[in-house]
Amino acid sequence: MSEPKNNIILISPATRLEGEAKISIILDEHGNAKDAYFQVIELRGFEKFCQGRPVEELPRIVTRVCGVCPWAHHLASAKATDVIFGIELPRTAKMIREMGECVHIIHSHLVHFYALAAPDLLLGPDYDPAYRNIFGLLKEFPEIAKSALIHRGYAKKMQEIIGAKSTHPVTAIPGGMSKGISPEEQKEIEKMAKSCVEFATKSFELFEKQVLKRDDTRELIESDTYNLPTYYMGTVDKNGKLNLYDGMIRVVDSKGNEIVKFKPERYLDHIGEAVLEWSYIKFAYLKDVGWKGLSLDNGSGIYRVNSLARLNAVDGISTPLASEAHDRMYEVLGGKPAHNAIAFNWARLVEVLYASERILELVQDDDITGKEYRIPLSEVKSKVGIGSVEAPRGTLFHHYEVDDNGIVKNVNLVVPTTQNNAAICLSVKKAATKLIKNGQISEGLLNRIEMAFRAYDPCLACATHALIGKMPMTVEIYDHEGQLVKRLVR
Amino acid sequence: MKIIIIGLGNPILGDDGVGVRVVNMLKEQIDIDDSIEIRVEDVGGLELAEMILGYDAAIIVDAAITQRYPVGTVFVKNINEYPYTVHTVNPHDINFIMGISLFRRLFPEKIPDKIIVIGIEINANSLKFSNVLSPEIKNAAEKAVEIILKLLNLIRRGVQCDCKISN
Repeated sequence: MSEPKNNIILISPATRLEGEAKISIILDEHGNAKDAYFQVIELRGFEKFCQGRPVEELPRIVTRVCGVCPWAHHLASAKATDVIFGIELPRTAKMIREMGECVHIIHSHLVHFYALAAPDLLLGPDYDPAYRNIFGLLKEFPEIAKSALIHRGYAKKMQEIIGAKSTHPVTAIPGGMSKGISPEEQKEIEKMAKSCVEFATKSFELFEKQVLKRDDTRELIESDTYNLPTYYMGTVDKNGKLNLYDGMIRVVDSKGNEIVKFKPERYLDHIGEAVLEWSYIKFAYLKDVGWKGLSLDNGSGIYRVNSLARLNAVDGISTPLASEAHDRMYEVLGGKPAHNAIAFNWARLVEVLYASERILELVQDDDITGKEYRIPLSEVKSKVGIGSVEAPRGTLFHHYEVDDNGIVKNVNLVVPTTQNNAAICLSVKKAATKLIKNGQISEGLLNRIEMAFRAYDPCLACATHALIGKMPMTVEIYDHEGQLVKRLVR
Repeated sequence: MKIIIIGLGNPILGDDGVGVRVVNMLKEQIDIDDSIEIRVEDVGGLELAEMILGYDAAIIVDAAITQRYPVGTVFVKNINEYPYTVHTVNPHDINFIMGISLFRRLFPEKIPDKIIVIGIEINANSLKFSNVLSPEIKNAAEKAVEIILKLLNLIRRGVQCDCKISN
């Protein structure tokens, strides 16, 4: 990865080992950022591990791909296996699964927003780094910080009710769910979902007060530094509204025009994967547009997934409070689509509100306690099964091929970080170009560059991976000959 | 006295799953009563910190890649000495030690007096999807079980734990 003719700034946790992400920023001879690379080394061997196993085992196995979004893998997998056994799910099963995905979105987004993004956004990017964390948040906003922890706990509890286990759910199976929702559980979920709606609404009030009314934080949301006009992908229901569990995949361009809308099972017709020699992971692009290199200048089909991308891709939101929050966000951001990477965090709050309201709708419908939540399996009806859901970090596809007996022959997973890979590199490059001038860097600047990739919450296969640090940052600056001249660690 | 023992790891990611293996072996060797809870988990950070609230002592068993010890070393540390094993850190979350500090501020009475990490040094290159442990890590798992049994005895008798490296 070294380019001896350039200065290189490497941002990576000091103790990271092979298998982790690195950000390298390459400077020109004047000390200005010339290029940026985001690198992740993938874990290998998952496909081989699955081969030869009965496909009905996959929904439980795939939760081990990632300890951060096991629900999304669980449900995308269950959907793919439904197709293999030719089953149309009963309404109750669909409702329970959708509720599971919504709860997962709340859990994941709340942790990301309050533990990782909020210290920058609510305290300001130049707040004392020693306290720019959840402790600073607890000091400045004790009530909301405590409430965030409580509601994260509610999401965990709801996950446990629906999935039987909080972290690695086991209840979605080919043909439906292995357990339903009892009237007592219905009441319990309803109570927690109501509280989540209230909490999400309060989060918006705080966001308005803290982020939008302060110059430094509002600047983050509005500045060109984090702007990246790409294509966007998300799942829509039959009315073109956001749905996290099921629907058509819709792609819009940087002006908001629909480029294509397709059924998830047609994903290979629309999503291609480019290979670049310096990266271990591929770069997803839209086949409808084509790949013309890692740049937006040549008309490459670079697209984004995850919260803001989803909201950019849909016509609106079906639940009332989230719909208002969605409209307010786009009013401030100057219309739809919005291109600012930092606004992914704002969109996370919109989605928390939507997911909370949607859970409430689902749980207040008495079909949720219906007894028909599983259709018995017969034989394999299709040798190929493809399922997709909207994972917290974006659209996720599972694609399985089986033999006549339902034994797995091939597995292909298209995960959100691969789809955002090109945009993450471009966002970091853009931030670096704006924020590093004449070789001058400071903690504040590096933090802002880190914010550019953090906004995507990229999956580093972390929970299944080895690392022993506490996310410190190492900055290495090389001279023209590629020699290390300065190393900063925090 | 209430003690929780948590085995961390991904059971299908080779040696990463050693913590899971250790507590599963442990379950077969001790009588489980109300004073002890043994869990298998694949979580870190805040979630892990939350899990140990309300216990008097917590023992966390996990794979580690410190590169300070030979592969297969079993080390015992108090949380303040060495909080970072494979699963206690997660880039999507705050780390375990921050989680503990956070809960210490919110619910000081619920934080266990003793939080002990049993780390098993593994090779980063062993992390491939597989449900089999490498032979040296399998041996280390057996050592870790012996260490935990001794440790439990000490904790229950209120003896100060002597944290030594076992190789």
